Amino acid sequence: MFSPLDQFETISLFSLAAPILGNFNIALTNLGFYCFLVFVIIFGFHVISNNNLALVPSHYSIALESFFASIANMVRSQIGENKEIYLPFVYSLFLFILVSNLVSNVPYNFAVTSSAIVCLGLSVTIFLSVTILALTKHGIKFFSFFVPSGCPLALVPLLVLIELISYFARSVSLGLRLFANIVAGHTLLAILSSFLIKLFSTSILVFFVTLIPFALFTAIIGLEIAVSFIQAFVFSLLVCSYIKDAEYLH
Amino acid sequence: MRASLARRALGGIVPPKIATPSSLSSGGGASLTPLVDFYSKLPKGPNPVTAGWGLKARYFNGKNASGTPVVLLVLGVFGIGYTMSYQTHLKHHKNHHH
Repeated sequence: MFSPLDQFETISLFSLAAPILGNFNIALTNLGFYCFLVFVIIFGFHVISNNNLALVPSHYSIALESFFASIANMVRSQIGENKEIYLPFVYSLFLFILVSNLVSNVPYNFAVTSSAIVCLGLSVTIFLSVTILALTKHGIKFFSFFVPSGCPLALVPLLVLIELISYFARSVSLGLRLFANIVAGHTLLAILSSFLIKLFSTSILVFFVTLIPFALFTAIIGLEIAVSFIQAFVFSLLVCSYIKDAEYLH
Repeated sequence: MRASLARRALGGIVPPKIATPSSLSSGGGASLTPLVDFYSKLPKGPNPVTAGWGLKARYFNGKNASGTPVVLLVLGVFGIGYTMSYQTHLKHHKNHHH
């Protein structure tokens, strides 16, 4: 590997060029392939773990039901008891991010969420749809969201500006948080593993001494797995919070 | 804490009130009909063995659920990732390390 950032490169695996239709080029990239793989894993687990709908669940159906119950609880506590219409969206978003993060922790695999276009695409789409939701629900009253209640009239122009900036910053910050965490984690692992492989292959004495930093490296892998869960959870939690803002304004 | 929040948080540990001393001592047991109805409809006997096709019955259903499929999935994903990395760039750097 030339650089620790090489792992984030999007490579075309298979492409179909048809210059007869202008510059028409359909490509299956590693990003597209891993999106499809993540979909197959999530869908496959849901189909195969249903335990034939038996009354007594198996370990797999308990695991999936626990995920579902946690997300359902989050949606109910964040958005509201009668707003479970958002549950399928938040649940699929959570599982997509979680499984893409976990797949990327397997060595040699591409991280879907390390792609800026995926993360920012998700967050900007969510931001736009939440804004449209708020506008359709509240109409012109939506703009009262930018005026904090009880603020003096003289401060309104300044506060509206600040609130507006912070509202638009959401669209970037949501995706950037996920993207930066995954890229930082995977880069760190790539750098550390390139040091470790050099140390391991130096001499037999250094090999045994290197087992100590290797133990630390294993702990960092554990941390990365924790980050995969935490980032998926944080992303879904913030989406819930934005939907709540659109539903209730304040 | 709001009352609804407290109820939601404690809902899992506080059992529902299905039989009170007054309803039990009132005689007749008519008030317990919903309870009897509920329990009489529950399936009886041991947990039926769930049938299924091939791998699903062997690795996923009922008591056969094991961690083997997850391990196999991780190994499979590793294989896919390694093959793709090898074909796209690792084989070009095989004989000269960086």
